[in-house]
Amino acid sequence: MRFLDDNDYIVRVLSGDVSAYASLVAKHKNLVFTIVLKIVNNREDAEEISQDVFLKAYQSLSTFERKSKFSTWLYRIAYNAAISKTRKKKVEMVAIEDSVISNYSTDEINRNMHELDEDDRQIILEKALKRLPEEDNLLITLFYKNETSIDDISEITGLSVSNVKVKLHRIRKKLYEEMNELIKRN
Amino acid sequence: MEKEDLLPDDFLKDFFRNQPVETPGDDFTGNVMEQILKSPEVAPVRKPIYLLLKSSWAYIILFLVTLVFIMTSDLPFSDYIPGKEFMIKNFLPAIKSMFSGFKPLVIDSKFIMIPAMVILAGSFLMGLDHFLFRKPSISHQTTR
Repeated sequence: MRFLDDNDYIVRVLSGDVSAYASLVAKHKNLVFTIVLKIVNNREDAEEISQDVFLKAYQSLSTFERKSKFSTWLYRIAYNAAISKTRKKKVEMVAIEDSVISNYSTDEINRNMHELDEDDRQIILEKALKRLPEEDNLLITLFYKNETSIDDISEITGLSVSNVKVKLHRIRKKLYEEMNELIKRN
Repeated sequence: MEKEDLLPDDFLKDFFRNQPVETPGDDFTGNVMEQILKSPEVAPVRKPIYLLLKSSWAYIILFLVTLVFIMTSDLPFSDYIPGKEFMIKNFLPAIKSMFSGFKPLVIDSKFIMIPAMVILAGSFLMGLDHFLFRKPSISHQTTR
Protein backbone atom coordinates (compact mmCIF):
# COMPACT_ATOMS: atom_id res chain seq x y z
CA MET A 1 0.00 0.00 0.00
CA ARG A 2 1.40 3.40 -0.95
CA PHE A 3 1.03 6.18 1.56
CA LEU A 4 1.03 9.94 1.17
CA ASP A 5 3.25 12.29 3.10
CA ASP A 6 2.39 12.33 6.82
CA ASN A 7 1.70 16.06 6.70
CA ASP A 8 -1.12 15.53 4.18
CA TYR A 9 -2.90 13.18 6.57
CA ILE A 10 -2.27 15.47 9.54
CA VAL A 11 -3.79 18.45 7.74
CA ARG A 12 -6.83 16.36 6.81
CA VAL A 13 -7.31 15.08 10.37
CA LEU A 14 -6.97 18.56 11.84
CA SER A 15 -9.55 19.87 9.41
CA GLY A 16 -12.05 17.27 10.58
CA ASP A 17 -11.44 14.20 8.39
CA VAL A 18 -10.99 11.64 11.18
CA SER A 19 -10.76 8.73 8.72
CA ALA A 20 -7.43 10.09 7.42
CA TYR A 21 -5.91 9.05 10.72
CA ALA A 22 -6.43 5.40 9.79
CA SER A 23 -3.78 5.81 7.09
CA LEU A 24 -1.33 7.21 9.62
CA VAL A 25 -2.02 4.25 11.91
CA ALA A 26 -1.59 1.76 9.06
CA LYS A 27 1.63 3.45 7.97
CA HIS A 28 3.34 3.51 11.35
CA LYS A 29 1.76 0.65 13.30
CA ASN A 30 4.55 -1.86 12.62
CA LEU A 31 7.37 0.28 13.90
CA VAL A 32 5.37 1.57 16.86
CA PHE A 33 4.52 -2.04 17.71
CA THR A 34 8.17 -3.11 17.27
CA ILE A 35 9.45 -0.34 19.54
CA VAL A 36 6.96 -1.19 22.26
CA LEU A 37 7.43 -4.95 21.88
CA LYS A 38 11.21 -4.67 22.17
CA ILE A 39 10.79 -2.92 25.51
CA VAL A 40 7.83 -4.71 27.12
CA ASN A 41 8.64 -8.13 25.65
CA ASN A 42 5.02 -9.27 25.58
CA ARG A 43 2.85 -9.17 22.46
CA GLU A 44 -0.47 -8.57 24.24
CA ASP A 45 0.91 -5.72 26.33
CA ALA A 46 2.67 -4.31 23.28
CA GLU A 47 -0.56 -4.29 21.28
CA GLU A 48 -2.49 -2.58 24.06
CA ILE A 49 0.22 0.04 24.62
CA SER A 50 0.56 0.66 20.87
CA GLN A 51 -3.18 1.34 20.64
CA ASP A 52 -2.89 3.80 23.51
CA VAL A 53 0.04 5.45 21.76
CA PHE A 54 -2.00 6.10 18.62
CA LEU A 55 -4.92 7.34 20.70
CA LYS A 56 -2.69 9.70 22.63
CA ALA A 57 -1.00 10.90 19.44
CA TYR A 58 -4.42 11.59 17.90
CA GLN A 59 -5.59 13.58 20.90
CA SER A 60 -2.36 15.60 20.93
CA LEU A 61 -2.07 16.00 17.18
CA SER A 62 -2.74 19.71 17.34
CA THR A 63 0.26 20.15 19.63
CA PHE A 64 2.60 18.50 17.11
CA GLU A 65 4.68 21.46 16.01
CA ARG A 66 6.30 19.81 12.98
CA LYS A 67 9.76 20.71 14.25
CA SER A 68 10.64 17.06 13.81
CA LYS A 69 9.24 14.31 11.61
CA PHE A 70 5.83 13.00 12.63
CA SER A 71 7.28 9.49 12.81
CA THR A 72 9.99 10.59 15.26
CA TRP A 73 7.40 12.37 17.40
CA LEU A 74 5.16 9.29 17.37
CA TYR A 75 8.01 6.88 18.14
CA ARG A 76 9.04 9.03 21.06
CA ILE A 77 5.50 8.76 22.49
CA ALA A 78 5.70 4.99 21.96
CA TYR A 79 9.12 4.75 23.59
CA ASN A 80 8.03 6.78 26.63
CA ALA A 81 4.78 4.82 27.01
CA ALA A 82 6.61 1.49 26.86
CA ILE A 83 9.32 2.59 29.28
CA SER A 84 6.74 3.91 31.71
CA LYS A 85 4.78 0.63 31.53
CA THR A 86 7.96 -1.40 32.04
CA ARG A 87 8.93 0.63 35.10
CA LYS A 88 5.47 0.11 36.55
CA LYS A 89 5.72 -3.63 36.15
CA LYS A 90 9.31 -3.62 37.35
CA VAL A 91 10.26 -6.21 34.84
CA GLU A 92 13.61 -7.71 35.60
CA MET A 93 15.97 -7.31 32.76
CA VAL A 94 18.49 -9.99 31.98
CA ALA A 95 21.47 -7.85 31.24
CA ILE A 96 24.71 -9.15 29.97
CA GLU A 97 27.29 -8.26 32.54
CA ASP A 98 29.92 -5.84 31.44
CA SER A 99 32.51 -8.19 32.85
CA VAL A 100 31.84 -10.44 29.86
CA ILE A 101 33.07 -7.66 27.63
CA SER A 102 36.67 -7.44 26.58
CA ASN A 103 37.63 -10.94 27.60
CA TYR A 104 38.21 -11.88 24.00
CA SER A 105 40.23 -10.36 21.23
CA THR A 106 38.48 -9.22 18.07
CA ASP A 107 40.52 -11.74 16.08
CA GLU A 108 39.34 -14.61 18.25
CA ILE A 109 35.71 -13.57 17.87
CA ASN A 110 36.05 -13.19 14.11
CA ARG A 111 37.77 -16.56 13.79
CA ASN A 112 35.04 -18.34 15.77
CA MET A 113 32.34 -16.50 13.84
CA HIS A 114 33.67 -17.51 10.45
CA GLU A 115 33.89 -21.15 11.43
CA LEU A 116 30.10 -21.25 11.64
CA ASP A 117 27.77 -21.50 8.69
CA GLU A 118 25.23 -18.77 7.98
CA ASP A 119 22.27 -20.51 9.66
CA ASP A 120 24.16 -21.22 12.88
CA ARG A 121 25.36 -17.66 13.06
CA GLN A 122 21.78 -16.44 12.69
CA ILE A 123 20.55 -18.74 15.46
CA ILE A 124 23.32 -17.67 17.81
CA LEU A 125 22.77 -14.00 17.06
CA GLU A 126 19.08 -14.39 17.81
CA LYS A 127 19.93 -15.95 21.17
CA ALA A 128 22.43 -13.21 21.93
CA LEU A 129 19.89 -10.50 21.04
CA LYS A 130 17.37 -11.98 23.46
CA ARG A 131 19.91 -11.63 26.25
CA LEU A 132 20.37 -7.92 25.63
CA PRO A 133 18.57 -5.44 27.87
CA GLU A 134 15.31 -4.32 26.20
CA GLU A 135 16.49 -0.80 25.53
CA ASP A 136 19.72 -2.01 23.94
CA ASN A 137 17.74 -4.42 21.80
CA LEU A 138 15.53 -1.56 20.67
CA LEU A 139 18.47 0.71 19.83
CA ILE A 140 20.15 -1.85 17.64
CA THR A 141 16.87 -2.81 15.96
CA LEU A 142 16.07 0.82 15.17
CA PHE A 143 19.55 1.33 13.77
CA TYR A 144 19.85 -1.80 11.64
CA LYS A 145 16.35 -3.05 10.93
CA ASN A 146 14.58 0.27 10.48
CA GLU A 147 17.67 2.17 9.40
CA THR A 148 16.70 5.02 11.70
CA SER A 149 19.35 7.73 11.74
CA ILE A 150 21.37 8.37 14.88
CA ASP A 151 19.82 11.84 15.15
CA ASP A 152 16.32 10.36 15.10
CA ILE A 153 17.25 7.63 17.60
CA SER A 154 18.57 10.38 19.82
CA GLU A 155 15.28 12.25 19.55
CA ILE A 156 13.16 9.15 20.15
CA THR A 157 15.06 7.94 23.20
CA GLY A 158 16.07 11.29 24.65
CA LEU A 159 19.73 10.23 24.66
CA SER A 160 22.37 12.55 23.27
CA VAL A 161 23.75 11.80 19.81
CA SER A 162 27.16 10.93 21.21
CA ASN A 163 25.56 8.69 23.82
CA VAL A 164 23.64 6.83 21.11
CA LYS A 165 26.88 6.29 19.17
CA VAL A 166 28.70 5.01 22.24
CA LYS A 167 25.79 2.77 23.19
CA LEU A 168 25.53 1.27 19.71
CA HIS A 169 29.22 0.55 19.73
CA ARG A 170 29.00 -1.13 23.12
CA ILE A 171 25.88 -3.10 22.16
CA ARG A 172 27.55 -4.46 19.04
CA LYS A 173 30.56 -5.44 21.08
CA LYS A 174 28.36 -7.07 23.72
CA LEU A 175 26.56 -8.98 20.99
CA TYR A 176 29.74 -10.39 19.52
CA GLU A 177 31.16 -11.25 22.91
CA GLU A 178 27.97 -13.00 23.83
CA MET A 179 27.90 -14.85 20.52
CA ASN A 180 31.45 -15.97 21.11
CA GLU A 181 30.44 -17.29 24.54
CA LEU A 182 27.54 -19.21 23.04
CA ILE A 183 29.76 -20.69 20.31
CA LYS A 184 32.27 -21.86 22.88
CA ARG A 185 29.57 -23.43 25.04
CA ASN A 186 28.22 -25.33 22.06
CA MET B 1 28.97 9.73 11.42
CA GLU B 2 27.84 7.33 8.74
CA LYS B 3 26.46 3.93 9.68
CA GLU B 4 29.30 2.27 7.78
CA ASP B 5 31.85 4.10 9.88
CA LEU B 6 30.20 3.22 13.14
CA LEU B 7 29.53 -0.44 12.53
CA PRO B 8 31.51 -1.58 9.56
CA ASP B 9 30.13 -5.10 9.21
CA ASP B 10 27.55 -6.50 6.91
CA PHE B 11 26.68 -9.39 9.14
CA LEU B 12 24.36 -7.50 11.46
CA LYS B 13 22.85 -5.58 8.56
CA ASP B 14 22.04 -8.80 6.70
CA PHE B 15 20.70 -10.42 9.83
CA PHE B 16 18.30 -7.60 10.61
CA ARG B 17 17.28 -7.25 6.98
CA ASN B 18 16.24 -10.89 6.92
CA GLN B 19 14.32 -10.72 10.18
CA PRO B 20 10.53 -10.68 9.77
CA VAL B 21 8.79 -7.39 10.57
CA GLU B 22 6.90 -7.38 13.86
CA THR B 23 3.26 -6.68 13.17
CA PRO B 24 0.31 -6.21 15.51
CA GLY B 25 -2.97 -8.07 14.99
CA ASP B 26 -4.99 -7.66 11.78
CA ASP B 27 -7.70 -5.63 13.50
CA PHE B 28 -5.21 -3.20 15.05
CA THR B 29 -6.07 -0.19 12.87
CA GLY B 30 -9.79 -0.93 13.24
CA ASN B 31 -9.53 -1.06 17.02
CA VAL B 32 -7.65 2.23 17.17
CA MET B 33 -10.16 3.95 14.90
CA GLU B 34 -13.06 2.53 16.91
CA GLN B 35 -11.68 4.10 20.06
CA ILE B 36 -11.01 7.38 18.28
CA LEU B 37 -14.51 7.56 16.84
CA LYS B 38 -15.95 7.31 20.35
CA SER B 39 -14.44 10.73 21.08
CA PRO B 40 -13.14 12.18 17.84
CA GLU B 41 -12.22 15.62 19.20
CA VAL B 42 -8.61 16.53 18.77
CA ALA B 43 -7.28 18.61 21.65
CA PRO B 44 -7.66 22.25 20.66
CA VAL B 45 -4.59 24.11 19.52
CA ARG B 46 -3.34 26.22 22.38
CA LYS B 47 -1.52 29.13 20.87
CA PRO B 48 0.12 31.68 23.13
CA ILE B 49 -1.55 35.04 22.93
CA TYR B 50 0.77 37.79 21.80
CA LEU B 51 -0.37 41.38 21.87
CA LEU B 52 1.86 41.84 18.86
CA LEU B 53 3.74 39.37 16.72
CA LYS B 54 7.31 38.91 17.89
CA SER B 55 8.62 39.65 14.42
CA SER B 56 6.82 42.99 14.24
CA TRP B 57 8.55 44.53 17.27
CA ALA B 58 11.70 45.36 15.32
CA TYR B 59 9.68 47.17 12.64
CA ILE B 60 7.69 49.09 15.24
CA ILE B 61 10.86 50.24 17.01
CA LEU B 62 12.46 51.20 13.69
CA PHE B 63 9.33 53.16 12.73
CA LEU B 64 9.23 55.03 16.05
CA VAL B 65 12.93 55.90 15.93
CA THR B 66 12.57 57.16 12.35
CA LEU B 67 9.46 59.15 13.30
CA VAL B 68 11.17 60.84 16.27
CA PHE B 69 14.23 61.54 14.13
CA ILE B 70 12.19 63.18 11.39
CA MET B 71 9.98 65.14 13.76
CA THR B 72 12.88 66.56 15.70
CA SER B 73 14.98 67.31 12.62
CA ASP B 74 15.11 70.51 10.64
CA LEU B 75 14.33 68.79 7.38
CA PRO B 76 12.07 71.07 5.30
CA PHE B 77 9.33 68.51 4.61
CA SER B 78 9.09 67.60 8.31
CA ASP B 79 7.23 70.86 8.95
CA TYR B 80 4.23 69.40 7.17
CA ILE B 81 4.01 66.37 9.45
CA PRO B 82 0.92 66.80 11.64
CA GLY B 83 1.66 66.92 15.33
CA LYS B 84 5.31 67.99 14.98
CA GLU B 85 4.83 71.18 16.92
CA PHE B 86 2.92 69.42 19.66
CA MET B 87 5.65 66.83 19.97
CA ILE B 88 8.48 69.33 20.20
CA LYS B 89 6.60 71.38 22.79
CA ASN B 90 5.31 68.58 25.00
CA PHE B 91 6.75 65.20 24.19
CA LEU B 92 10.47 66.00 23.95
CA PRO B 93 10.66 67.98 27.23
CA ALA B 94 8.86 65.12 28.95
CA ILE B 95 11.43 62.64 27.64
CA LYS B 96 14.30 64.95 28.54
CA SER B 97 13.07 65.32 32.10
CA MET B 98 12.52 61.55 32.33
CA PHE B 99 16.16 60.82 31.52
CA SER B 100 17.66 63.90 33.17
CA GLY B 101 18.59 61.88 36.24
CA PHE B 102 20.47 59.29 34.19
CA LYS B 103 22.24 61.73 31.88
CA PRO B 104 25.05 62.91 34.18
CA LEU B 105 25.44 59.40 35.51
CA VAL B 106 25.93 57.94 32.04
CA ILE B 107 27.87 60.73 30.35
CA ASP B 108 30.23 61.45 33.24
CA SER B 109 31.20 57.86 33.84
CA LYS B 110 33.31 56.12 31.21
CA PHE B 111 32.76 52.81 33.04
CA ILE B 112 29.12 53.00 32.03
CA MET B 113 29.50 54.86 28.76
CA ILE B 114 31.99 52.49 27.09
CA PRO B 115 30.14 49.20 27.88
CA ALA B 116 26.86 50.89 26.91
CA MET B 117 28.29 51.85 23.53
CA VAL B 118 29.68 48.33 23.02
CA ILE B 119 26.30 46.80 23.92
CA LEU B 120 24.47 49.21 21.62
CA ALA B 121 26.84 48.53 18.72
CA GLY B 122 26.63 44.78 19.31
CA SER B 123 22.83 44.85 19.43
CA PHE B 124 22.75 46.85 16.23
CA LEU B 125 25.00 44.35 14.44
CA MET B 126 23.01 41.37 15.77
CA GLY B 127 19.77 43.00 14.66
CA LEU B 128 21.22 43.67 11.23
CA ASP B 129 22.44 40.08 10.98
CA HIS B 130 19.01 38.82 12.02
CA PHE B 131 17.25 40.78 9.29
CA LEU B 132 19.74 40.16 6.53
CA PHE B 133 20.43 36.47 7.11
CA ARG B 134 17.16 35.04 8.35
CA LYS B 135 17.07 31.28 8.82
CA PRO B 136 14.32 29.47 6.88
CA SER B 137 11.32 28.39 8.93
CA ILE B 138 11.31 24.73 9.97
CA SER B 139 7.54 24.52 10.00
CA HIS B 140 7.56 23.37 6.40
CA GLN B 141 9.77 20.38 7.04
CA THR B 142 8.41 17.29 5.36
CA THR B 143 7.90 13.96 6.97
CA ARG B 144 8.99 10.68 5.55
